[in-house]
Amino acid sequence: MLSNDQRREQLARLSAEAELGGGEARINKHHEQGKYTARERINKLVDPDSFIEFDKFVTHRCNSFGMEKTKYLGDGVVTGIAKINGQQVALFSQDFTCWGGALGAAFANKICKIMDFALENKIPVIGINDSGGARIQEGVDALAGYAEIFYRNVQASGVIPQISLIMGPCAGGAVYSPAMTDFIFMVDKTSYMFVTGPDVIKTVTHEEVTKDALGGANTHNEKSGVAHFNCSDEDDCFERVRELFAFIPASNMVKHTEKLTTDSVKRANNKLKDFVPDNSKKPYDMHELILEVIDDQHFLEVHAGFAKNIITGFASIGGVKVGIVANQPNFLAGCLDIDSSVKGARFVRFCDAFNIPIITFVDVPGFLPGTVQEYGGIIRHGAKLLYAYSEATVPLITLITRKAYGGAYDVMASKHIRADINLAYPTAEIAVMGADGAVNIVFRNELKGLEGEAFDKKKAELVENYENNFANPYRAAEQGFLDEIIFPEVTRQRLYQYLKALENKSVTRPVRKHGNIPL
Amino acid sequence: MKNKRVLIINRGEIAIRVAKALNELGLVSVGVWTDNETEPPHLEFCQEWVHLKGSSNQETYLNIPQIMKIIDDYKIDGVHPGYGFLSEDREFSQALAEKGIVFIGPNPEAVYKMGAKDISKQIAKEAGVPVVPGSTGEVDTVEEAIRIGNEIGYPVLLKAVAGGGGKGMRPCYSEADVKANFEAVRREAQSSFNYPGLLVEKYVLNPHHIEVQILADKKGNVFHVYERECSVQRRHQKIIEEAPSPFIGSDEAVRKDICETAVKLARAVNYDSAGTVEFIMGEDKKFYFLEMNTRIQVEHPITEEITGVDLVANMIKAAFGEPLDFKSQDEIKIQGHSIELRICAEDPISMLPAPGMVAGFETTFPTGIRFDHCIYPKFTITPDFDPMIGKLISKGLTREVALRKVKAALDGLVIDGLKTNIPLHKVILEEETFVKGNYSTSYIGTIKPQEKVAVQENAEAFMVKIAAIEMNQLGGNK
Amino acid sequence: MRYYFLNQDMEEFSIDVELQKNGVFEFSHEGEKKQLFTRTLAGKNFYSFDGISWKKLASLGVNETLISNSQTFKVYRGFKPSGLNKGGAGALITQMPGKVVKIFKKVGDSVAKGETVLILEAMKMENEIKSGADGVIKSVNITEGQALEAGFLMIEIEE
Repeated sequence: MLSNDQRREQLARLSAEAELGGGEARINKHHEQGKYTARERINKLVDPDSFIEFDKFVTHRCNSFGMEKTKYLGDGVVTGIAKINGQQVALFSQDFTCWGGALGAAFANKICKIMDFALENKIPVIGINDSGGARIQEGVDALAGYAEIFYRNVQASGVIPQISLIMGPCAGGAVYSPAMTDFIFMVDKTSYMFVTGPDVIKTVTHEEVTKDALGGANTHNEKSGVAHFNCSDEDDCFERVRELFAFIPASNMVKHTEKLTTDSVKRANNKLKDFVPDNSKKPYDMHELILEVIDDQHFLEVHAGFAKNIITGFASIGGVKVGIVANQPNFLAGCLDIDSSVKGARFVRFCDAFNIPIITFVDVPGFLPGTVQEYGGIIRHGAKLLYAYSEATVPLITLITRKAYGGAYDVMASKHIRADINLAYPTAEIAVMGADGAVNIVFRNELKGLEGEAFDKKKAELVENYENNFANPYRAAEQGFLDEIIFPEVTRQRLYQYLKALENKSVTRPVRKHGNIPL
Repeated sequence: MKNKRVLIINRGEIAIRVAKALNELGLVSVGVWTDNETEPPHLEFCQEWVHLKGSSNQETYLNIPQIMKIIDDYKIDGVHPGYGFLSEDREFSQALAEKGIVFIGPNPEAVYKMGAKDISKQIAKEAGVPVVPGSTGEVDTVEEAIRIGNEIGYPVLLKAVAGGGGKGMRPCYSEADVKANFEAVRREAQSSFNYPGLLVEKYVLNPHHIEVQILADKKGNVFHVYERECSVQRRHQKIIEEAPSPFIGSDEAVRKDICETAVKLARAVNYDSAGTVEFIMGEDKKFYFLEMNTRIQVEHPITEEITGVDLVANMIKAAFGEPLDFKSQDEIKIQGHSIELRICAEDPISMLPAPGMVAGFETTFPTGIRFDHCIYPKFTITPDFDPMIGKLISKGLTREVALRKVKAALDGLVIDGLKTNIPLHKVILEEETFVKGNYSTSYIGTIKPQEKVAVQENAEAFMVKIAAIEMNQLGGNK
Repeated sequence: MRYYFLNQDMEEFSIDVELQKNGVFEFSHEGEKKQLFTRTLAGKNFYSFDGISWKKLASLGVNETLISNSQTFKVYRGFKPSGLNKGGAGALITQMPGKVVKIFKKVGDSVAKGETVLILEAMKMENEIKSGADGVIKSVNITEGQALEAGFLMIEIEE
């Protein structure tokens, strides 16, 4: 019989053993690759001393292929609860030193348990992914494990924020869990995600591609749009996650806390007086306008590397946390296309799910033309953004800085799809299309037969005429499609005033299981 | 006098000071609040609260018609104007006199006579009070200027008649200088003040700003409560004041002379309240009358500390025709030394106002400290507020002791969330010239202590801040 | 935990902090370590650098700013706000297909950060392409009037 002291010593010993995961040698190898261990990552991410571990002594129960000979306490994943800047979160961190972080039934069970806990207690889930995939030895049990996780991702979707940090491999079926979470952070050079790897690709399609090129951080941040954040290293990644938590709520049921700021809401935006160029063809960086208007110039841009013609991100105005969607005139002229529509739609739906008011800055000349777009399905993808805005019941404030042409005017949170407040600068141009194109169609007869100088002169005259009549916000204002045309200097003050007025907005939609958003 | 209702038409720390005195004397203190300060701290000390409609100073504290109406509506018997605002407004004190409302300040005549520089100077001369020697009026020719310069002795100052605030004046150290600068000053005066007239005055080198506190009643008794030195100033804004004057020091003859001269002047205008006669004193201890402030002043506490005389209570008593707390001049004696630091919401290096909001406020003072202030957490100082948010006053047996105590108090004064001039005070209190006690009004301009203030504190200050945030977090965690 | 302090000019410095046992904070700043002792009594916190003289830790309202003499700092716990002034690289690459309208620099010219180096017409917009850094023009791979596809390295700047 063991004495009390011996039992205490036993607990301490087993605890220490669990914390070593796959052993010192493997830990060193892991470090050599520039990666932190599963536990180190947790400690660096969360508030000091706030992590409480669950299921430290869980082991697998697989007896096939000699698996019973090796057991790791914790079974290769560290789970528990902790605090990030005071906010309670649930998290799991996969341990690459145990069988390459491969997932088995017990491992998956631990994750499911922590996800259930998070859902029941309405706290966010953070998953640190660093895994080679399923444990082949465990067969279907591993696949079942994944599916249990996927199911819970969906049950939790829109109820609690789910964040995925990809800090190593994440391949095959494993990618679907992060894919369904709200935000994916990838670490440059040490992380990759793909469904089928370079080896299989080589044998099947004979393409040669490296892991990094196929599914590294840059690829997913810029090409595929799967990842939302590209971090230079693991420390940077933890900082970005903490930064994200300054803006998102704990669940869809809590009222937002104020983001502390000393930036006065009465601050005039004098910088914006001449910000929109006189020359309609001259682009500008919409980031500058956003930074000028928000609190403390603190803008957390989400999905920065993907679809740069639309900007999405979090900020606060007068302490009120908001989501920002904006066209970017200096990239693809700010046109909407497949990628930007999808990027915008996902962001809008996240904000709507979590009661974050959305501010939309509009300067859009239309949808990007071309066969690439048409064959690519701009029709159904463009509809996603329209659907997302129409579906949203959070406060929506729209500000048209310059162009708002054609269907894109409708899509970008126009009054008609129930944006709450629609504003415009005096430089706004709301029309079906630009003067140049419009004149060609509308005044086709007047221009028929004219050539050379006579043509140019007549066209210029008609263009000017058109611009005077239509390239301004007053037609829309006359109809009440705009609530106010404002001087740019009061942008910040106005946005704050409207945000406060919309604080208690409450709208219900007709009861249904769910809509059928084009996918 | 008991239960008479007195309206305090001011705000901030002086409103608190006045309210305290009114309450002490058994009067009813009536305080005001305006549209943009709905929870001002001075109301805590006032027994009644009245809404002064409006937000700008013009609409509120300077709005005589509205104030007169409030006096009617609320059956006010007397008004204390504090300092600034309407405290030296002749129209206001006339209006009150006509209605028979007690104005806690001097009679309107005195306000008028001492309010105009040329009239007050004339009265001073007639009363035998030394004034800065110079031309009696405008000087039209350079020859005249030279004649006067030779008469009163160089250096002299060529000064624009319409000028003020230290502008429109040039020192001349010789006849040649006067010749060289005469026309230039005329031109400057014309362009800056629209009037080319100038006068010639003796230029007192390294002057000390010494002022004498006067306390008089309505029965013809005029007393002095000794002097104060306010030479640490910038652009005529005082930063540090001391009582008694370290420059006069133990020279009782000079002290007696300057104090009795002040009384002489006060008598000449039948002064009947609290007021201050300001002088400049040269290195040779010769002093000259500058102006008289016919109101209670910001720095009155240091006089109260060294003499035990409650100036505000006494001026209230005097106004209501009651006798003062003492009967004869010899009852008032100096005991010890007092230093006052004006704590302002401003950048410690540029000394420009820095509005903001108080995030935290802590005081850990030694004994012998008085802090007259209006600070509380979340107190917002807007650009139209006076940046002076508090006065840190120490009293000690000697000047060294007072200095020791005020330094310790400064260490224990924490105002978080605002830029303040506390770092500047810390530098000055260690600076050799100030510690020695012989500094003139050129102190800020020549010693430039503001340039010795570090642009930011060292890393330790940041570590303390981090520890505070972490402990807040930990407290929240638990 | 790393704390970032950003002043009004967006200059930053950081301090790392670790809370050890018994309320001792260990700070690392610019390679140097320093300890701060703390203790609590009756709801008030106190600190000391030498364990001998103690001062009260002011209870704070707004945690997000620190005023230090003449500087105002924003305090960030655990992260530096991203997206502050993204600097471009020394390589100017087309983001989208376009036509070179005007080139303002030649090889060997010096260029300042933010200075317009060329104008590219794309998507019916005239884009001013600016240098992301101070430096010298290393190579110019385009001519005026040239039509370019996306991803083309137009101009290189050596910092």
